[in-house]
Formats: sequence, C-alpha cells, structure tokens
Amino acid sequence: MHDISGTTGTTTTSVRVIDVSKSYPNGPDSVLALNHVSLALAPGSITAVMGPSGSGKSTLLNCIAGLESPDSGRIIIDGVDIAGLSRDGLTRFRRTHVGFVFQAYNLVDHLTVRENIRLPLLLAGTAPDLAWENFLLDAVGLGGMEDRLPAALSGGQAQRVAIVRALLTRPGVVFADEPTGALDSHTSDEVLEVFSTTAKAVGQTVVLVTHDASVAAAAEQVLFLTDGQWAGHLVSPSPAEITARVMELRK
Amino acid sequence: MSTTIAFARSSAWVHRSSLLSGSITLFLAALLLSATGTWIQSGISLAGESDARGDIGLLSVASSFAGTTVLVVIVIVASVLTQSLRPRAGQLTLLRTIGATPKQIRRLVITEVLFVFALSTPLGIVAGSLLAPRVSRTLAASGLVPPGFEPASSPTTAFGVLCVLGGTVILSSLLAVRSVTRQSAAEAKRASTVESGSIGRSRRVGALVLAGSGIASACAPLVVGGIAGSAGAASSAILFVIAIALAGPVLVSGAARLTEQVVHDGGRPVDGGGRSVHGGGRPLHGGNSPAFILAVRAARGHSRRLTGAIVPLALLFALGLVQIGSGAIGARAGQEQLESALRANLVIEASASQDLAVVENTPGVQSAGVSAQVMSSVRTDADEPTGIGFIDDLSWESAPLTVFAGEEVLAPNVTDGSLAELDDEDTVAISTDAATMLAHSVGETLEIEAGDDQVVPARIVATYEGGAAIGDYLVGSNFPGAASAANQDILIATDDGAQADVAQALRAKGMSPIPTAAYVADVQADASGEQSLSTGATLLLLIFIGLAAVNTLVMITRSRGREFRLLRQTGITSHQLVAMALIEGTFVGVTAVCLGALSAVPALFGISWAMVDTVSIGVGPGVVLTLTAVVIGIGIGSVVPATYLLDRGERRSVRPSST
Repeated sequence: MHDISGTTGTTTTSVRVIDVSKSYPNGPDSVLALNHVSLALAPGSITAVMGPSGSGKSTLLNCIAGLESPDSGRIIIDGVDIAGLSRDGLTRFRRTHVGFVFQAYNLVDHLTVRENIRLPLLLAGTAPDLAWENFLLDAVGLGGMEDRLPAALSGGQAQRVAIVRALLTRPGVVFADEPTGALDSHTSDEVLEVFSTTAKAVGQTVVLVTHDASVAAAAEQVLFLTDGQWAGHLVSPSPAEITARVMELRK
Repeated sequence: MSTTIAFARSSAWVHRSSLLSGSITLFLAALLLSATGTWIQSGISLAGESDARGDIGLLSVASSFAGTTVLVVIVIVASVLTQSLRPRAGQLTLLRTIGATPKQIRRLVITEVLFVFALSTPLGIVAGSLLAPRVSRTLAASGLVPPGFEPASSPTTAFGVLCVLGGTVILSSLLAVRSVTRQSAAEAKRASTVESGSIGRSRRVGALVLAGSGIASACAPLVVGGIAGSAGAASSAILFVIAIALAGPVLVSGAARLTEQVVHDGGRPVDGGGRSVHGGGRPLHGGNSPAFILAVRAARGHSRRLTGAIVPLALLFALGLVQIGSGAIGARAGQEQLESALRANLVIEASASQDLAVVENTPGVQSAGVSAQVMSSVRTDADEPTGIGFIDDLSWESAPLTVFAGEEVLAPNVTDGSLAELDDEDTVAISTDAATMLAHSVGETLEIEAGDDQVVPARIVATYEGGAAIGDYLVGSNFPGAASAANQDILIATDDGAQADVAQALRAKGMSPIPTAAYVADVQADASGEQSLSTGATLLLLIFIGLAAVNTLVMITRSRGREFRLLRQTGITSHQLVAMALIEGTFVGVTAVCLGALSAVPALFGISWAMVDTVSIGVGPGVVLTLTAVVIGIGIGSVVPATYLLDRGERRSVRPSST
C-alpha cells in the first residue's frame, strides 16, 4: 500500500482516502480498478493524477467525489466520512462541499448557460452571489453568453461553463476529470489558467486527472497511478520531468 | 438494399425499447380498426342480404364510428411513432455527418418502422377480428343486428387496415426524420441536442386555418339550428385538437414560460457575501421549490416531445367531454321538445288495439289518439341509382315513421304547412332537422318504403320542430303499414280536473295509465339505451388514446436517462427528482385539460345553442372533474413511476470508468 501525503506540510487534510478498493464485473470475472489506494491532500493544494488508460484514474476521482461507492476503504472529505452518509445525504454533501468538472462537460441541454451554472445552487435552494458569478463568467470569457443554450457553445465554452458551475458554490474540494481533454492547446491553456487561478483565490483543494503533461505541470504535485495502485509522485515537476516519468511507467 | 435491411434490423433491435411503444400502439390501432372494419363489412353484408331496402343501421353506425376512429388512429399513431423515432435523431445525424444521403436515411428509417409494422399490425388485425363478435349481443340489443348474428372478417378489412396504418407509418416516419434529412449535417447535429419551441411556416398556417375552421364550425348553429348545426359544432372539437397538434410546441413552451413567469423564479440579486440584497439571504426561487423550477424548465425545453403526450390527452378530454356533454344536451332537448308538444296528460303505453275505443268512451276524456312507430326506409339521396346494390342502398336511410296521434294530444310547433293533411294516405310531415338534412320543403315529394316493399311517394305537408323527441317523420293512421304498428301508446287529454278520475276509471278497466311526466321519462330511458352504444364505442377510443398517452409519456421519460444522471451528479436528491416528476406529470395533465377544454367547450356551446337555445356544456362539475382527474392521473401515473424506475436503474447500473 502506498500512502502519499500532500506536500504542503500541514497536518490538516482536506481529502483523505484510506485503503480504497474498487472492482467492476467483467463477464464471470471482475476487474480490479483500484487496489488498496490511500491518499491525503492538504487544504488548498492542487494535485494532478496521471496514468495510462485503464489505470483507474477516473474511478479514483469518482470514488473520492462520492459519485461511486468503493468496495472497501474509507473516504473522508473536510472531516466527513462519506461512506457513513445516506444516498441523499451524500448528494447534499457533494452539492455544498464538492465541485466536479466532467470530461464531457455534462451540461443540461435545455437549460441556458446561467441556468446550468446555477443548477447546484437551485438544488440547494440558495441564492447565487451575483458578484462572484459575474467574476467567474468574465474570468472564463463567458460574459454576454448567459442566455445561450449549450448547443450554441463551442467545446471550450461548454467546458468553461462546467468549470464555473463547479466553482460557483465555493466548494472546499474541486475534482476535474480531463477538464481540457477535448480542447485545443490554446483554449486548454486559457481554461486551465482560469481554473487554477480561481481555485487558488478561494483556497480550494483541486484534484485533476489528465493525460497532458503541460496540464499536470500546473499542479503542485503529480501522482502516478498504474493498474489501480500508486506508482510514484513528483513535486512541482516540469512538463519534461512528467513526460519522462510517464515514458518510464510505460516501459 | 440488403445492407439497409441488415442495418435497419440491427438498429431496430438496439432501439427496441423505444420501438416497443410504437409497436404496442400499432397493435392496438390495428385491433380497433380491424374490429370496426369487420362490423362495416358485416353491415354491407346485412344490407346486401336483406330483402328490405334500407336495412343499413349497422352499416350507418359502424361507418359513423369508423370516421372518428380512423382520424384518431392516424393522429395517435403518427404522434407515437414520431416520439419513438426522436431518440434516434443523434444516431441519424451521425450517419449524415459520415456521408449518408437523405434518401438513405429515409430508406433506413422506413425499413426499420416497417419491421415493427410487419410484426405488430397483423397481430392487431387478428385480435380485432376475434374481438368483433364479442359486441354482437350489445348490437343485437340495440336492434342493429339480428339476435345471434356473427360477423365474419374478410381480407378486405385486413387490406384496409394495412393501407391506413401502412400509409400513416410511412408518412409519419418521413415527417419525423425531416429535420435530419432537410438540414445540413451540422444544423442537424445542433438540432438533435436541443428542441426548438417554434414551428415552421406551413405548420403555423395549417394550425391557424384549422383553428379558424373550428371557430366557424362552432358558430354554425348561429346560422343553422337543430341536428345540422349541432353536427357542425361537434366537428369543431376535432378541428381544434388537430390545430393544437400542429401548434403544440409553441403552446406547450408558451404554457411553460407562462408558468415560469407566474411562479417567478427570479434572479433576485445578492451582495458579495451571498446574502440577498432584498431578502436577507432568502432563497432565490421566489418561494418555489427547485423541483418546481426544474420541472417547468424541462417542460419548456422538451416542448416538442411533450406535445406528443399532451395532444392525445387533450383529445381524450375533448372527445370524452363532447361525447358525454352532447348526449346530455340531446337528452335535454328531447325532453323539452316532448314536454312542450304533449297536450295529453295521461298515457297508456303498449296498449292493445281495442283499448282506444274504451278510452274514448271513458267519462272525463276530452280526446285520445294512438301514437306508434313503424319501421321504414326513407330515400335520403335523390341521385340516380348506380346499379351497385349496397351503394344504392346507402341512398336509403332506416328511419321510424311516427303515427300521428292528433293535434289534440300531441302538438309539435309547426313551422310550415299543416298537420291536418296527414289524414291522407300519401302525405308526410317532416321535422325541421330532416328538412335541413334532406334539403326538402313543404310541397316536395319524399320516397318512403313502408311495409311489403311498397315505395310510397309521400307529399310533404308540414315541417315541425321537435324531431329529436317525436321523430323526424310523422304520418297519419291511413299511411300504408300505420294500422299494423306495434307498441301503440294511447295519448289521453282529459277534461280540466278530471285526470285522477279518468286514471282511476281506466285502472278499473285493467289498463295502466301513467302521467305524461313518467311517459317522458320512459322515452328518455329508451333514448339513453341507444346513446349507450355510442358512448361504449367512444369509451373504447378513449381507452386507446389513454394507453397511447401513457406509452408516449413513459417513452419520453425513458429518453431522459442522461439528464437524470447529470442532475444526480449535480446534486439532485431522490425526493427532488420524484417531486420534479410529479410536477411535470401535473403540468402535462393540466395543460392537456386546458387545451382539451378549449377544444371541447366551443363545440358544446354550439351544440347547446343548436339544440336547446342556451349556452351550456351540458354536464355538471362531476363529469368535468372526473375527466380532469383521469387526464392528470395519466400524466402523473406515467411520469412518476417511469422517472423513479429510470433513476433506480441508473443508480444500480455499474459503469466502469474510462481510465
């Protein structure tokens, strides 16, 4: 079992994963996607998770974010063991404590940009902070597009909407699964800049899964996952160091 | 072509759940049409075999029902098929983007729906032909078929059903994929992800023309009264429903926007600390629940697919209300007409032939006369015979002649001519309704066949009001066959204050006189028996429409798996999701009730004006509330369980992650 702690040196943890395993049925057998994984992240840290396809990155992210239940182990976010929550309790907890940016944007087709980004607030029954909302919209370049439907947005614009939606509730932890996966490099850089700047501005803990070394280099630490287990980590690495480690893991 | 068939077959298999809805509807539609067709075929056979010309009661009733049935079936099948093909837009758009031509897309979809058609329709036809004999007893009780009559299905019926449904399936499939085939691939891709709440120009014009026609039909009683005006007004309901079907997306999204505005979900600004500027941290949503707001927004966003469910439900409400309302108005008209025409104050029903003389000789009897009915046929179409048996028979209408009891006991309001001339053996008086329908007037001749296949050219001597109560044709006692009429009622007018004594005296002679109020009630009861046949047939249609609506709503809900999954991920709770489904189901039901009422009420006002000179819908709040409960119940009862089951399925499904 690997236990990789955050690099900030604080003893307080925002996210703690303890000995988590997760498998999926595969015909008569099963595939072990996570194999006794543990992790501790300090508040305000930015962490990238990398690994080859099928290594369990998205499964790890889904489990930590409470979107999937692990087979065993514990996940503690902001001091709350999410395994002890009821299904709706977990939903309510995620709504207020966790932001999630999906790889495929996941916008509701019939809701406008403004209605999409306010969706978590609507479900929680709370009012948006208009100043914060406008700041985020301007920061990601979506000002003036609030009444558009997702069908009228480009891929980059749709992903920016998803990012604003994840940040608007000021969650303590934000998870992003390949947030720039479908974007060109220029748009990707812009989105990442906004994402990391705004997250840092409000002291959010960020965990992002990516295949892109330049994206991962924006993080304070990079964790490598292969076959559902940790395979090392790098602190404040350069893109070249990350690429070299990835090539090494592929051998 | 074989590639298309193979692709269509595998595509149909992959999308079997949505196509299942279409196949169930096609099965029920084929069943309904097949049963109706079997009875039309039997009606033609009966008319052909009968020695007496005009024995076409069954043919008339079945044909009349078939008109509405075919129309309803076409609307419903087209609606359900369009909905079942809607989830395919993404796949078809993908095919367009990788090079499929519009012609290939059309061929693929038609091949696919024809698979479903070929599986479902024959089964429905067989089921319909097997079920048709089950209503023999009801029809025999109404005198439409001889007791023990067994209808026989024929290949002609099956062919007719296949033509109607086949044509509907192909046309509705072409219309359903028009958005994919007519636009560029990029436009089609964009359109497949979002529904437009607007409609095209031709559709808008069609809706306006039909709505205008509906208004004109509903106002017909202002120009033509009686049955003709009533029939015109009744047709307005179906015209309005079709207009609503065409304008559906605009109406549904408009209703959703209106609801949204009324509930005011608002955008109340807050300061930087997240507190409401106006409300000190009050929720944003104007007091409305997130489920309510999400439901209204979903209705706004899904206006096209919801139209597919709301239109059948509006049709159900309108058809049910018009059927029940018009029946009640007709009954009221009959009662009022009979009460105003009767001068008698006692009646002896089903009397013996010698009773009249006994009554007339009873002290206190001022006047008495026999009223009876003689079955006959009246030539309603003056066109030259075609030489084709059953078609020529359609020129004749089976109609009872009422033997006139005398103006001293029965005095309908004569609008032209005089009833005094009915003493002749070749004269007839006709109701104003019959005069309008036949386009005949006093002085013209009407061919009537009465008894022994004898055709009498009867001269029209008068027209009168009250055909619904008295009958459309009055003849004197000297008219051929009148003397042998069965079920003779003796209408008795007594001297003032002598009613009780006369009644007692007649009872002493073994007769059973009843007051005219009881007689009117008996006549009404007989009429309601005939009405029940029509109501029963309409009920079958309503059940079909209701099942189609359930089918469509379940299908629509099942197509929202991605949306529900996303809402789950964004933070919706089970309670909120079910509440949202409950509100959506209620929205569907309430919108359908409103649109159905808008369609039915002008028709009923027109019928009421034509029949009883007042403006009324003919039914009380009980009927309206029952129909409303049924429609809203279907909305809620379909959407809520389908949402719950879909959400549960999503939660239970295990999806390996991509990495």
